[in-house]
Amino acid sequence: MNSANDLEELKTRLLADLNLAVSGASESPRLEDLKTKYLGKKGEIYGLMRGMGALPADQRPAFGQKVNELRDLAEERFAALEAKAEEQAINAKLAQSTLDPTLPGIRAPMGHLHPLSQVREDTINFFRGLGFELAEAQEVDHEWYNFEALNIPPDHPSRDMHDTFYVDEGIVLRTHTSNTQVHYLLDHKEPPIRILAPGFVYRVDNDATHSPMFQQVECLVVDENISFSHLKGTLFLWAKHVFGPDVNMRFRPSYFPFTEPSAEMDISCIFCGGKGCRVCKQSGWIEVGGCGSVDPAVFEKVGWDPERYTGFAFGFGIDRIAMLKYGIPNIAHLTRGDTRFLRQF
Amino acid sequence: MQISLNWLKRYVDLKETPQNIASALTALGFEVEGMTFRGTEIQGVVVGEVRECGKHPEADRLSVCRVFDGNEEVPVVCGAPNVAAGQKVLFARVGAELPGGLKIKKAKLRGVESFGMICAEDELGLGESHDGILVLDPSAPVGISMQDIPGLCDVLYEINVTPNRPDALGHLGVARELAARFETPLRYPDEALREDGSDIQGLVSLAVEDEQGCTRYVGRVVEGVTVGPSPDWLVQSLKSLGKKSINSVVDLTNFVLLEWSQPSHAFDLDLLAGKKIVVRRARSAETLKTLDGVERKLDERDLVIADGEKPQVLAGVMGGESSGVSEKTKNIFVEVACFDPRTVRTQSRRHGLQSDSSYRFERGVDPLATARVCDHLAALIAKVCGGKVAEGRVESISKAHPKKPRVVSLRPARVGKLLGVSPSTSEIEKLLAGIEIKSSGKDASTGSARDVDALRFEIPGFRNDLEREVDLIEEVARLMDYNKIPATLPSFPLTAVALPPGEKLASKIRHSLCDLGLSETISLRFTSRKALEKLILAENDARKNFVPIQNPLSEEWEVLPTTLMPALLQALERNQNTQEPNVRLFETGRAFFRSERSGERDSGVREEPVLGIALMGEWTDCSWDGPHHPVDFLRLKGLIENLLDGLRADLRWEYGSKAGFLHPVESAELYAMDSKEPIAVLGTLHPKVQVEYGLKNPVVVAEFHLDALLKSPKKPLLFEAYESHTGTVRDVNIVVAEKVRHADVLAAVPKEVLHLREVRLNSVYRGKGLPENHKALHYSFIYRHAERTLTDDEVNAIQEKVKVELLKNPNISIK
Repeated sequence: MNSANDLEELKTRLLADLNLAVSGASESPRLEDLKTKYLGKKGEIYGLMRGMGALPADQRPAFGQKVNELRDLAEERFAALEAKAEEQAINAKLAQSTLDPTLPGIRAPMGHLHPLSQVREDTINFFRGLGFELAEAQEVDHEWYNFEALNIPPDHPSRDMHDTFYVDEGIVLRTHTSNTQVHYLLDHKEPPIRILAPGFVYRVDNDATHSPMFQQVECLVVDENISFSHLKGTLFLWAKHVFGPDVNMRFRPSYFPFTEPSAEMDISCIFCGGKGCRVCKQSGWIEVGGCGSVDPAVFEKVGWDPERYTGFAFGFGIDRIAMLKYGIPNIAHLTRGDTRFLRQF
Repeated sequence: MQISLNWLKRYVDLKETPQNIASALTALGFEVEGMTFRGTEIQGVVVGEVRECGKHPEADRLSVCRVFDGNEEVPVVCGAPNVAAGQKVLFARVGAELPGGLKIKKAKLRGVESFGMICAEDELGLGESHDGILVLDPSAPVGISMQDIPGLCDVLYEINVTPNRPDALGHLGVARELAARFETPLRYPDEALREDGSDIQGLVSLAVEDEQGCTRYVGRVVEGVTVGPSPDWLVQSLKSLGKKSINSVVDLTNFVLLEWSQPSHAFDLDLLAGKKIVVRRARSAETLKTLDGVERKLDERDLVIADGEKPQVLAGVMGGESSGVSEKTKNIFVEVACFDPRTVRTQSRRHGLQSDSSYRFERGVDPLATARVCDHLAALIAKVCGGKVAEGRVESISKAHPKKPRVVSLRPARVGKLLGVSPSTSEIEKLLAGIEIKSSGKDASTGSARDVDALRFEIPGFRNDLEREVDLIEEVARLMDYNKIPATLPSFPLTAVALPPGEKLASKIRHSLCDLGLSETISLRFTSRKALEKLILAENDARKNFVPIQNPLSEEWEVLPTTLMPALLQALERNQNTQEPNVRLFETGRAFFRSERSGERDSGVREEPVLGIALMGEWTDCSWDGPHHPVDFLRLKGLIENLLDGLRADLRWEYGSKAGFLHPVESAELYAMDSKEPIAVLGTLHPKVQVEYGLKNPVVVAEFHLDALLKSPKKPLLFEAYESHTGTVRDVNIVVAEKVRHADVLAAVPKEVLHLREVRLNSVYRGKGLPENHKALHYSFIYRHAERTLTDDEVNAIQEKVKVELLKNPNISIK
């Protein structure tokens, strides 16, 4: 024992056993048994080490080195084979899965923010970024705040544009968010004023593009040197934010008793790019909303000096923007609470 | 307002394309909402001459003609009954394309070849008539294209005229704007007047008794007229705008209205009692049968034109039947007046009667042109109907009525301040002169330094809307073209902008609920008494304090909602009816309550932001993999707990709600620690309400008052140390009668048990092994020491004590 021959014989036998173990033959030894047999505490390789004491002292280092080499070799081989076996076992397990990945995913419940809220929040965030504050006013208001203070006298033809719901003598459901201008200018006398007032408004009207209740967003800027040119700049910035950088805009004269000059803003038709289509009635333009410089009469009604202060205001329909943006054909979709509609957004 | 291009061309030379004219109108503030081409776009239709016309050999109703189109003579088969040899007709050559896409091709009709088509009016888009082919005046030159026949083809613009621009409700006003835009002269149409009749003073008398209602009145008489059908040019002009021809005099009044935007009225002078015209308020019990055949009761508020006996015209609105002009009329009295806009508007509304006249008077007519238009109309009548215009006018003018153009000052510097662009003084003067606003030099009338550079402008009567400097500045901007004003951004000092707390809360709630699987809905803020009654609210419920709308659109929308419940339940029902049984909705809206008015701005209606939640059907509908749980109170409660955790709201739960629409047991109310009114109510929908709203699947609902929630205390968001040692768990199965609640069990657990951190409910069991009407609540008691791991013995000892304490409660047994 303990001769170089024994060592060689052991090595040969180890390698043969390992080959047999991976051959997959039915009588083949198990890898863990072989590992105990050769590398275990009572295994053959340690047996050689233990028997080394019987050798002459001068042969021991050389023989010891060879035994160590054999042990390293065995450990390396076993590790490689174990790793391989482990991988095969995992692969076999993976292959056994019967799950049908084409089944629909099992979802967690998910809610949807109403498209009007999405447009509203986007508008608020945009104007907050420019330093506008949010303002709010009552929806049921005295006629004076909704009409007279905005230079719309009783029995004036411009009231035809505001078919009004009444809840009492002189008490109306506001027909536009512009009553916010009046309340705000009465309460705040410190310029500069930059406010945004989204809110619900009411008109006696009901068809595919008109709802008796809809959302507007009102914007008011007042300071000592605010011009019509600033109105255009601000609105163009917003329109590009909402409708994309390629959108074109135009202003055309219009009439609102509380702005002067008054304008309507159109954007190039987002459906045909301005070439003309059914949505824009072949004009290439889509009306977005009304705007203008604050009429001096309004300043006078709320006690501001129209000689010193100028301003601009605009009011857009949030419903209209949402309908344009998402291609919603009928305004009634917006208030039906139909899940088939809501879950699209 | 419909505007005819042919008609405009009477007053201004327009060489631009119809599209360019449309763009100009829109840029001037008269938005073109539609354009109709009447034959102007058609190629290949010419004047043809029917040289021969004979019967078709195979078809009785067809004719075979030979038509000469200026170049050649071709055979044409025609189906019109009125075709005849010698006629000048509109002939569509082979290759022409007619409106509607019909392409004219060589064809064989019942064996006879046809090279073109003889056209009817409607086939060319010239009108609606299909009675037969359109036969032209015999003088029409053969071979010229249809567009070269004067007055035949036209372009109609549907323009939107804002209420401040009554001048543009007539062709002359629109022509003036285009003349300015294209820098060409405007031709006024005044008809030369020959006063060759008798003196008007002997023919008719005028008394304006109400000068407030009628500030200006001018009348003329035309004697010896022949009223009959109108000449072609007049019929055609009116027809192009869809107005029917009635008789020559009535047509002329309509023509002048559409020309000058000035209404007028023609009376049969011989039918006016006492040959008197009296402008006065009606007397009670007087009546007037207006031209639309309706007998109208008048009262003292109505301004009328009466004769010596009774009202003949509802002033500014509509004439009466009895003194109208007919074919029998010999002598005519024409009226051109200025009535007070508010008077006309209110009486037009009161009688539910809007007319072309009232529309214009409401908006205001040119106060300085009354006599001029009257002269023009009288001259036109004499020209068209024969007769002689009597010498002189009867007229009246009130003190308040303007007698000369208004003068308005304009500071050029103010233009720059307001517009952000500064045209020169001469540019301003030139722009305004284009629409006849003439500069009358520098303003010398005021001494103040501010006005040193002010310019003075004379405002013509037809622009009565221009009263102030700012009105003129708008005109400058408009005439410059808004699109030539640069877009610039204002600059402001930096400022921190926070959302108002209410908005912030509502926004957070919306996003939380979406994250929790609910979808946001927005309902119309209208409901009905019936829908509120269906909620079986208690007598003293504030939700009964609703505000009715005085002029609702329908019974369903007759009141403002005091709760979102009706709208949400109706939305559930609509979804149920469209095979969507599983729905989770919420809405942040407003509720409106009648309240005592306090303060000047209070409307007597209190508006409160509210949140409504309504869940129907199965909770886990998004999963196909079951089990599917129906919504119930506990799932709603869990959802609300999630929501409130996210908001860090610290609220007190009370079980069982008094809200009528909720199940009395499966419900709860939420209170701020010290509040008496609940911030929220939630629960299973009351079975009766469920039936009333026609809902078949389980429904749970909740409603929050957001102002109260906003004011309620919040749990602070601060780090809390957590023990790193593992806890020790002891499970206990507690058996109680059904009526004993989880909260009762928790209350029976002694206070301040050493190291006890949590008592967690794991399950509730009913059934086998338990006495009848009993349930087993399975709890985990979790113990944890702050600094070390507890030993089993320690925990067992504590848990034993707890059990002993629990069992002291006679309702509790431990299994």
